[in-house]
Amino acid sequence: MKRTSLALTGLLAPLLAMGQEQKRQPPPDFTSGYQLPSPTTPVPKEALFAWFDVGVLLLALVLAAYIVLSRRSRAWLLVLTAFSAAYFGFYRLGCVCSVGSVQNVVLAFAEPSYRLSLSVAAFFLLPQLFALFYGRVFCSGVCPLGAIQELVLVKPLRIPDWIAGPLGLVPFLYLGLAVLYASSGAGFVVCRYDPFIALYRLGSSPLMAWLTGMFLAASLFIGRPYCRFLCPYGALLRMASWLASKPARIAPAACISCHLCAKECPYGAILPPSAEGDRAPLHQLRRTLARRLAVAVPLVVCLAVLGWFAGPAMARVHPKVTLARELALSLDRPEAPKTLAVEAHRRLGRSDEEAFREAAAIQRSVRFGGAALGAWAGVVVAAYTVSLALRRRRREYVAEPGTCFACARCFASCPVLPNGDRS
Amino acid sequence: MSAYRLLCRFRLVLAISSALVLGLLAWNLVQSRSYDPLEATRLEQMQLRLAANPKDDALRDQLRTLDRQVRECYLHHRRVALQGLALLAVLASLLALVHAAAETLRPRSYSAEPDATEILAQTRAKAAQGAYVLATALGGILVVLATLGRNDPLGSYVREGRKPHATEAPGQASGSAPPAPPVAQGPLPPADPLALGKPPLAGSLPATPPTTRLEPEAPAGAGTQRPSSPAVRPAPSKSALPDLEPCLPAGLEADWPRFRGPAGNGVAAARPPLPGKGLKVLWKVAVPLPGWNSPIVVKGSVLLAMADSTRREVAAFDARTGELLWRTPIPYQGPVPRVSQDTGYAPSTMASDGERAYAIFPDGLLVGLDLGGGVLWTRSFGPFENPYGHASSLLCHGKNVIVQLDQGSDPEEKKSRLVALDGATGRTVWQVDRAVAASWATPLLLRAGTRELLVTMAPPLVCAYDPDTGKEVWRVEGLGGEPAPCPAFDEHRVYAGNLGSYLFAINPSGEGDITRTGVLWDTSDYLPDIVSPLAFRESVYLLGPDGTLACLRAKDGSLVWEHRIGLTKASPTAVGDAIWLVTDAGRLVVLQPGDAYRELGAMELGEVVRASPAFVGDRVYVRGQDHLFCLGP
Repeated sequence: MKRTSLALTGLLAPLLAMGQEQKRQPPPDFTSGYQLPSPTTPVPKEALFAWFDVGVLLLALVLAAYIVLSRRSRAWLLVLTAFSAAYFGFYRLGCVCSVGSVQNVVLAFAEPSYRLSLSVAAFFLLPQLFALFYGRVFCSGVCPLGAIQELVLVKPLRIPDWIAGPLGLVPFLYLGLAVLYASSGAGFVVCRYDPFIALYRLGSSPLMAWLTGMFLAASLFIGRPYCRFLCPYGALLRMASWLASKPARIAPAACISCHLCAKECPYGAILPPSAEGDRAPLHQLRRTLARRLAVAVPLVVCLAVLGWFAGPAMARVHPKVTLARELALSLDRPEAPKTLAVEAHRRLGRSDEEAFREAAAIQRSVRFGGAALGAWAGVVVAAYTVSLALRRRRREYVAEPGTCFACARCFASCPVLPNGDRS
Repeated sequence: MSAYRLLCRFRLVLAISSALVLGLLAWNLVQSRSYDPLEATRLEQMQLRLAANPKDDALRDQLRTLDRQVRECYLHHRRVALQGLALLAVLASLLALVHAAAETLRPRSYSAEPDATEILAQTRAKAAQGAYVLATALGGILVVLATLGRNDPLGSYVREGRKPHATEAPGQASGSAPPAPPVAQGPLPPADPLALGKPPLAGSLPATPPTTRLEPEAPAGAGTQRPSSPAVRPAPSKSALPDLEPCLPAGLEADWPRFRGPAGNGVAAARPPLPGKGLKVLWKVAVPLPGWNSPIVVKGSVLLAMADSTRREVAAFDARTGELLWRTPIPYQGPVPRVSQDTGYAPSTMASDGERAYAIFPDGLLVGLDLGGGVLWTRSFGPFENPYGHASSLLCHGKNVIVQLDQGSDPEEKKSRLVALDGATGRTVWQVDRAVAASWATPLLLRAGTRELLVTMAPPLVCAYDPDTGKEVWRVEGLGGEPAPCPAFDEHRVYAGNLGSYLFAINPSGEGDITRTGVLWDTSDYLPDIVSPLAFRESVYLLGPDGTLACLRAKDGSLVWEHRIGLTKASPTAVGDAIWLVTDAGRLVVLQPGDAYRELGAMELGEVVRASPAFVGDRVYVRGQDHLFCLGP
């Protein structure tokens, strides 16, 4: 096992090295008709193909739910996972994907003239609808980002729960940031920093190639690092899964508390049954809860205020603000070399004052957005700490629907048969 | 043997194979270093010796041989590396799949574990602390951002309403300003750590789009660009817009003697019937060799240039019957040029002055023929430094044939030129060296008032010349990208632009640098990469690389409508009261110009079409990938 892991790790190094080396040269002039794939945005598809993709997504979701909840078969789930990586990832080049669709939806609300296409809306809604009923079946074998991480996981190392738990809040913060930047028109950061885009499009900038390499390397030993600690769409699915009426159940009959499923789960998503000795005295729990609630309000306010003041700096990623800053710099330091954007602005006779006014308006809106982001971060942290103080009674080992990716690993390890016997 | 064991052995085999390939790649990498032509010391020493003894022919031959060996070795190692990486990727994928399959079949032993709930309370407390640490870290990041925001050069202009200086003229922006007095200032502020690095990608979004009428299912994937308002400038200080007219070749007004018709602006005087209302295929003949150039029709003949990597010819077909009249081979005289598949070996459309016909090929050979197919003269202007292959088409002005020979990547190298040749002899009448980079656009001839203009596009200029003398009349700076579309004009404005740059609407009545005074509006949306725009009835029609046809108002560039018509390389043509175009899939579509997309008729030709049709009389001549069609009543 270790030898296999080391060998697989070593495979990545030359890929990264060659990727770097190739990117030093400009693309060659292909005479064989080869089309260099675009590392940025693929050519928009015809409407028919977009709806075909929606159909494939729906079918894959139905299959995933069936495989996880009815067949309980990891082998079939792996087949579906490989198909999703191949179709949604390599063939469709990872676009449109549900993870990025959050931003399209946000922009449709923020910008009245932007019309959200129904196919993109379907990509946004369908996985969440399934999560409301069946948990994160989208993550189990449909999402191309999760699929590649699932396929390369060879030696899962268990991250302690007290680390994984707080890190699991980062997707909520990333979601807030993505919403802020999408609504302000600064760009789609989730798409721009998709960590597996270099793999699926077989080419990218050196930075993205390194990012892909690092995530792939991490995925060898850490289960689904992007899904657990970054994916903003996963934050939405997590919340939807909490309401799932029929999530995956580990034991097909009565659980015998053998702990094998929890040992098998690489994501720490399985919670043990609560025992009599587990619960602290009630007054102690109440005190803890009150303390955390008391911290929650100032935390939210403090982060909101900081977010307000951080607004102008966060607005710098907006191209109009970037241009305005470069214009201001060129006016303050005329001898400094000018950027191409400033030169183009000057040559076309555009007004500096108008550029500054536009930048100011964007900065103002991002201030409000920054305050909202800070408040959201405070709410997320506060809600998490409060949830830790709450008591929950569990009679058996359960997969926590919000963090369970329905990978079906625990099914194979559970010795309980559907008729209640043990294998 | 159980499936699990079989998979384990297969996994081992794959792991060993991957390790072997990895080892071979590493060995290849080590080997390739010694053959890197940039670092080969022997080569460098020989170069130094040759520089000291330039007349040593033996040394020169030795150097050439060694250089060739080194390059061949380098390219061999590179080829091996790429093939090895591909094999490694396949093995790694198989290994991952087999490992996953083996894990699902791995037998698991039943053993009870002690309950772990004793440490649950400690874990929860630590997790809560971890969450507060995260919140603190986030607060720290926000504090840093807030601090960065205070030292913003934009601040004084935004907060205090400080007015900017008067904007500098374009000439100063290009570095020709007088030297500034020395200012003792520190180093420039570091690069903004928050900037996302490169200029916005296609996925980034302009902030203020106008209201647009989109089709209900316009597929806007994540990151699709949205339209922005065209930049409308104040009316130039000069007089009102001039009246523009085409320069029609005498005696050929009813023919189709060059790319986009006698006027070169895609407006035809022909009157063919509409599809579904009498238009049918009158004849269809096989074209012997491939070529993407458009047919020209002159004096009852349809002329085509055609070529592959071994042969090239010019052919003429009878316009009435399709009968092949003559085929004249134009043999390759040197190495076959490297061209892209989209360009092909015969991309440039021919031109005719009524007495002779002219063709140019990507290797730079320009040939003049009589209308019976006899070669009168040839001139060779190549080879070109052109990444896709020379594709600009020819045009005739009087008895001269004009050819745009733009090449190179650096305009300052001045490798480009505009040449006018005498049609009868091929001798140069005038020639202008141009400080522009490679272009694939064809010049446009028009009359503005009393003067004739030859409008050209090549980065960074849209430039107009006097077609009689080659003297520059005016220029607009700011063109970028890789121009392949041709300029167009209507009654008052010239339109020039391409993907990766802007579309400029220009008042051509000025002189000199009219970048700031002559550009009426510009837009960076819906730009074409290959298809030339059509200016017709107060609208400008643009066809982008994704097959979106957009109609803009000629007055200010605002969008009227857009419609996804399908991938298209042929340029649209205004024929009578309608607009004709042919998609790549061979669908001939006729539209009614107006405030909405309306089809008047359509017809399937059943073949790939990339060449722009020719319209003469009541007939339409379409060159498909394999056939030449004649459509008519």
